Amino acid sequence: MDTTAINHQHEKTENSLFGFWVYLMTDLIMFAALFAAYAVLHNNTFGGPASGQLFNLPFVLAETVILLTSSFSCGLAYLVMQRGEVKKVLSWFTVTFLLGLSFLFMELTEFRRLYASGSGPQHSAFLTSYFTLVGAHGLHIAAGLLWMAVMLLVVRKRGLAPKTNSQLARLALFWHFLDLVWIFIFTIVYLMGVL
Amino acid sequence: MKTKPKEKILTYFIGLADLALLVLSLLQIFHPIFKLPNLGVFNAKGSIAQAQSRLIITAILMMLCLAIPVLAAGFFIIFKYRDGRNGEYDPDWGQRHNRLQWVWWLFPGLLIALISIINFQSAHNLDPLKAIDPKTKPLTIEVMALEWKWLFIYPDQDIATVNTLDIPQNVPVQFVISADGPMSLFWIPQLGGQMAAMTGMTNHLNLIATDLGSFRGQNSEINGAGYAGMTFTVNSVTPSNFKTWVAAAKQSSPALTAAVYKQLELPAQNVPAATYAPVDPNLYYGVIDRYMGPPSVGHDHG
Amino acid sequence: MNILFGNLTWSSLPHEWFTIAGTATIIGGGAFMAGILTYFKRWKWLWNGWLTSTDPKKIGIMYLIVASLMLFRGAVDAAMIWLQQSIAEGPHAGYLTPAHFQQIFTAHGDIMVFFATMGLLFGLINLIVPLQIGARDLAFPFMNSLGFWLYVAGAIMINMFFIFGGEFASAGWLSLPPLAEIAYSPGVGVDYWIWSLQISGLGTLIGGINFIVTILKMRAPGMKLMDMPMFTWTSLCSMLLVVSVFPILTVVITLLWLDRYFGLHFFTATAGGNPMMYVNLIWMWGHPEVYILILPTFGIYSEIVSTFAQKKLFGYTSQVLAAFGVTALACLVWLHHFFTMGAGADVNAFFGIMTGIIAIPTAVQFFNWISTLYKGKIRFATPLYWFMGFLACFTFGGMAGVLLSLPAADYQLHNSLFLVAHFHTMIVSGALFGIFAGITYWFPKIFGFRLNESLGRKAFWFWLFGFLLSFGPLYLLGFLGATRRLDHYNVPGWQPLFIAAGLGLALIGIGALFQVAQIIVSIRDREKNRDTSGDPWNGRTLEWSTASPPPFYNFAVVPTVTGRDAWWENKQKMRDARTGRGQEYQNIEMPKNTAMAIYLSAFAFLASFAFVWHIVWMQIFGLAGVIVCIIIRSLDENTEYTVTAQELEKFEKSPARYL
Repeated sequence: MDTTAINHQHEKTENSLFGFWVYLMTDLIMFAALFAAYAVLHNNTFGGPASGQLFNLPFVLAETVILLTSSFSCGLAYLVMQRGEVKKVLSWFTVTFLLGLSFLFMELTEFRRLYASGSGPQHSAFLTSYFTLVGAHGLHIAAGLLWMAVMLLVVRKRGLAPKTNSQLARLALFWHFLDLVWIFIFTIVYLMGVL
Repeated sequence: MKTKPKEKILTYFIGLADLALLVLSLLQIFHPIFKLPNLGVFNAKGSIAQAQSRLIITAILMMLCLAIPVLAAGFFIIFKYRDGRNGEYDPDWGQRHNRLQWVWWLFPGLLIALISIINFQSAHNLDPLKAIDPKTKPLTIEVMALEWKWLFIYPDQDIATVNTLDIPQNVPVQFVISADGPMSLFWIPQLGGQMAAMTGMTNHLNLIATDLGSFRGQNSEINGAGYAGMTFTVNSVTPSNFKTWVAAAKQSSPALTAAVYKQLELPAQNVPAATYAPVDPNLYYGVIDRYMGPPSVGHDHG
Repeated sequence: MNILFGNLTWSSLPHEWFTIAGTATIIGGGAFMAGILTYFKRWKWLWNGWLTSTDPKKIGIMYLIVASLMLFRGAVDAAMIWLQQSIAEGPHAGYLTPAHFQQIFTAHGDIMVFFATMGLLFGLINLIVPLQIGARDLAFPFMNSLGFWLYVAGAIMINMFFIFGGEFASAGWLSLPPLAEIAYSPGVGVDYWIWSLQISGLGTLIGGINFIVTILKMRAPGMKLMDMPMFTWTSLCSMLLVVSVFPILTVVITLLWLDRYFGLHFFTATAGGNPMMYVNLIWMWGHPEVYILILPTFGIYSEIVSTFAQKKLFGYTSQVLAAFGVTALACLVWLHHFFTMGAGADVNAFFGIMTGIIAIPTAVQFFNWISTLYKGKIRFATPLYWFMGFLACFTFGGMAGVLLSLPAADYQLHNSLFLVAHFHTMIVSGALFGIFAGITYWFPKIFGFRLNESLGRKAFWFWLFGFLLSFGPLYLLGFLGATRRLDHYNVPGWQPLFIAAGLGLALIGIGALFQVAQIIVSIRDREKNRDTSGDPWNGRTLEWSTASPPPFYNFAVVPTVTGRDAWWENKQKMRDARTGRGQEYQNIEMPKNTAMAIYLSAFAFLASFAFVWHIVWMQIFGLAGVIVCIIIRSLDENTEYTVTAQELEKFEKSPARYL
């Protein structure tokens, strides 16, 4: 590659990262709208259960710890990626993937429990907004896991190339972003709901 | 810059026209000079609608004070400098008068500042929630927007009407508005308006008819197939005629029971006027409670 | 059957006269086009040269074509609305049932805003912004193609009820609940509405991100932010608004869909749902949307005024600040759309005053344009005519807007035809006239030859007087107490005004015919009007520094910029200032064509269609297809190719031509 081509690649990486930041801002606005909906509707229980009677705080705390740990391992994966250590990248992203998967599993368990106890999203506006807000985050986690699975295969097959690194950087950014959103959900929905 | 006589005349003319507009709009604030005949909103039959139409004309006049000179100057300049035919082409004029761009903010700024004051005051003076005359007890009318008709309940008179409304002249009327169906907007152009009718909540609108006569009322928010036919007549009558009307209605009307209301609730288009007496006293708030559901904090609206 | 087709049954297929007519038009038109393409053996040319292209210039042209078709569709709706309203007085019921009438005005609003005006603007932005900033391409060429194809998918979706039946939404262009909820709108109309807006809205969002990165990151060396042409500035402002508010639209219509599909309770009248929340959220998107449409055309007017006055734009700094002022304030005024919903006087007054304040930066731009014209050497070309029409109409439309910002006045004008006349004035004279001006102005750049001037002027005069005649009566009708969306009325005095409005519409139709004639005649006379200089108007900004039409790489050598009006300054400095002359060419990387955006949008379309009709297998198929397309595309290492210096030199000697 000559210098213009390298410059071109560099410029593209930079643009992708900046574009991804802009995308994350739009996603943040989407979550803000969902939080707003939750704030407006969370008292409209229509005779059904309120948040205080519904949530299992220790369980959610465990979920939170798992997601935070996955964020940490994702950070480590990013660090070893910058040093070009393919094997370590694979193992740290695998750890992140498994932690993320267990988070998603726990969330679905929680949803199933609520559904089984007759507190499904159709029951009241409060439950509607709760399931949608937390479910939207869960959907993002699922998308992130799919992305991660694909990237694991890519790194295994192609190793670390500039384009792959740029994608991994965005994936890490996305994962941290979801972590941040979860902290808001944990605080506003669960902590403030129960306490 | 030398000014040609033709331009001078134009400048004076615009200046004078502007001054006249300014004076008119100032006068308009205190007294309605422009009363356009037979135009719905301007053909006001109540003090609220009168104040609103006066406000509309005042604001238009004030804005014309800025719009007319700007447009006149704009078109004058466009034609004057057409093809640079007067030889005054000066591409660097802008660089020399660059500061002028900040002066331009002052003119619309000043106008909007004035209009903002009027905005704030009129929003408070003509607040639909505000009682028209704190000394007089208003006539209360509960308004329920149904698919696709208006139900009016007179709780103190114990009668109800559909798509017709009798009110006594010069007595403030307090409309208490809700809906049992999609959102609708309650509007009587010649008395003032509008106010939304929404399920599970109550909005207030205070109006008064200072003239006698029949006025058109309507729904102004689309709420389904029967939207356009959701009109009603408002009859402003003398207080004694109002009493007679109430008494007559009481004698010769069917009762508005829960069962009758169930029938009334069904969607129907272009519904003719009707009168009911007596009225189930819990009807209005019963409907609201149905949407509020079992105890909860309920709807918030700012 | 249910598993295979969901709720779609034989009986839902079209059986109303007007849906049959629409279906026949669509199928007939499609068959005709297919026939022509087959006869002239142009399928390959279409697929390889256009549909799969990642070149923003070609995508821009495709945007203009699709948007023009949608403009025509919206205009037919307008004519049908007018015909109904001019006959349905008193005992006459008109020729449409209320439900049909309501579907038509709902479609009219959505098509004009989302597919006609937005499409035309995205077309112009695609065509011009990269040239103005001296870029060879957008930051994400594939994403641009994807944005376009999602827009096309949305445009097809909004017409799908013609072919597959059911109905279109009839709850107004914003489908306010609880009317749009399943309880009151049980048909598929609102679902068509939701998914049409959802996929085209995602396309818009993607486009917004793309242009922000492009404008901020890919400007020619030396071009500082405060050197950017005004159209680029206002496009940037518009795109900033897109990324700030389109996510809200995405969320709010998703929530409405959840309500309708799964029986949730965000906006239902019962079970604690809150319709007011929908009204708030949708207008948090809806008001800025108006400025998304109008800001770029203000940029177009700025370009036109300074080019045709042959003077630097007066008050550039002030103009940029004004555009930003409008951008920021646009997000703070949404409540003025529902003063009549019982908010307190303080809240109403606050939002009313904020709305009034928007008039300040808007008016400042008028002052600056007039100052630019002052002591200029003004050429009366067609774009300037559109500007003058805008100047007059928009001033009065703006006054009507300030009037509506007074809550106490709005109580009497809200949802009346006065309001309808106001926002048509803003969108038609603000956005549409500006787009026409822009298309006339940049046409020689885009296609390499000028449009016929005399036919353009005739079109303008018919448009202007048609516009005045069709919306003047509407202002009056509003004062008379006529509300919008009436399928019949019982006030005889209104009828003449409705008929007058229809005559105005006919004049606009003649204007539109002149525009079509203008394009046909200009194509016929193209050799005579060929622009060989690349700079037919003696322009000021970089797009005029390259050939007309520009080569696919825009600039053989990326220009270096030293200040505002870069091309004008260059011309002042040297006689032959064409950038790149005599400079060394270098190898450049250009994006390859790809059909992946088409496949992805097709899958998204399938999934959406399946959501409308509850066809579960197709939903899964469509979504899986979308995911697979994304994965395949993101793993593709081979998305670019190299144009060598020798090839560039060859291309530079043989200019590109479409016609």
